Amino acid sequence: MADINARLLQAIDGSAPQHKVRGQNRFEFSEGSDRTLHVKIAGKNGNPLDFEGDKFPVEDKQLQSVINELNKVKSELESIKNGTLKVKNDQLIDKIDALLAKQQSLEDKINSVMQGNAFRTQLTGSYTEYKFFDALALTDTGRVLSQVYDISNLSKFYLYVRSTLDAEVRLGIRVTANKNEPSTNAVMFWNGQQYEHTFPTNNTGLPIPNTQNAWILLNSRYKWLNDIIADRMAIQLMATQVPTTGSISVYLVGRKY
Amino acid sequence: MPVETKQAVEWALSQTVVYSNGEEIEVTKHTKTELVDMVREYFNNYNIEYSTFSYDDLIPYID
Repeated sequence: MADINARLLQAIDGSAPQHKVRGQNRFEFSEGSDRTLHVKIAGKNGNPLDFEGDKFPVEDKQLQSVINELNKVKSELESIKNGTLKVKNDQLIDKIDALLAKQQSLEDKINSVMQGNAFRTQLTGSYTEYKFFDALALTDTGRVLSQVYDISNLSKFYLYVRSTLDAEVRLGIRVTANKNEPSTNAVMFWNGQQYEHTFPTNNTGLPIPNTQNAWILLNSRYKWLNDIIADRMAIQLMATQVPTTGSISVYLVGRKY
Repeated sequence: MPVETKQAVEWALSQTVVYSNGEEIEVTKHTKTELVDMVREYFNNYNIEYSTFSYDDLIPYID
């Protein structure tokens, strides 16, 4: 005996594209266009989701959660303003910067949804930023080592550099491959012909010119940066000549697992 | 930091930086690079001795 007690729908020369109707012993024709089968997406109760145009519907609770988050940010900013939330002086600007950036991002998200765009789906992860150097006015040609940051929780990172120094700077990347290594060591990379050292000297390390008011994305030139997975990381700088004006910043923006 | 740092920061915060692409940036406490660069320029203009510093070193001098 057949599993489904119904006849297949026929075209002129055989069975047609079809599917079983839910809850019934019968088939109906499947349709499509542009070489693609039309589908409908149903919720767990079998009710189809309504589309507006070609966009996914915005779930109220998703929007509500963004609005709640925005209200929290606004409330925190208000608390800083009226003094009920105490922030150390040396952390105040960073704290306000971070809150304003978050507020802008949430408002952008709401505006985007209001304009009919779907929420961007992010299955896992969030972004983090580490400032290895923050507008460092170098005054000599000695090597400077940054703070060491734990990057073991990052699945990917981007290194941004901005220099207004009037001298070329060589940048070095130091990592520890695992937690047992006592200190960060310089990275060597294959440049297509030989291993090249990032330990900064006058002729080694990654050359950083004066970028004025622009940021260099180091990953765009040194593709191997896209593949680094390590426990900790630090940056080392060395100016090739004594800088007399300007400063240099090196930021990492990473995506957490 | 030199004793003149407070004056240097005040002066820097009243400046505008013009880059070679024509972009003008008014110095504020949020434009970290421009603030540091202008403070350095002040030190240079008045022959004030200083050693390597960064934005964080200026925070105590920003109102």
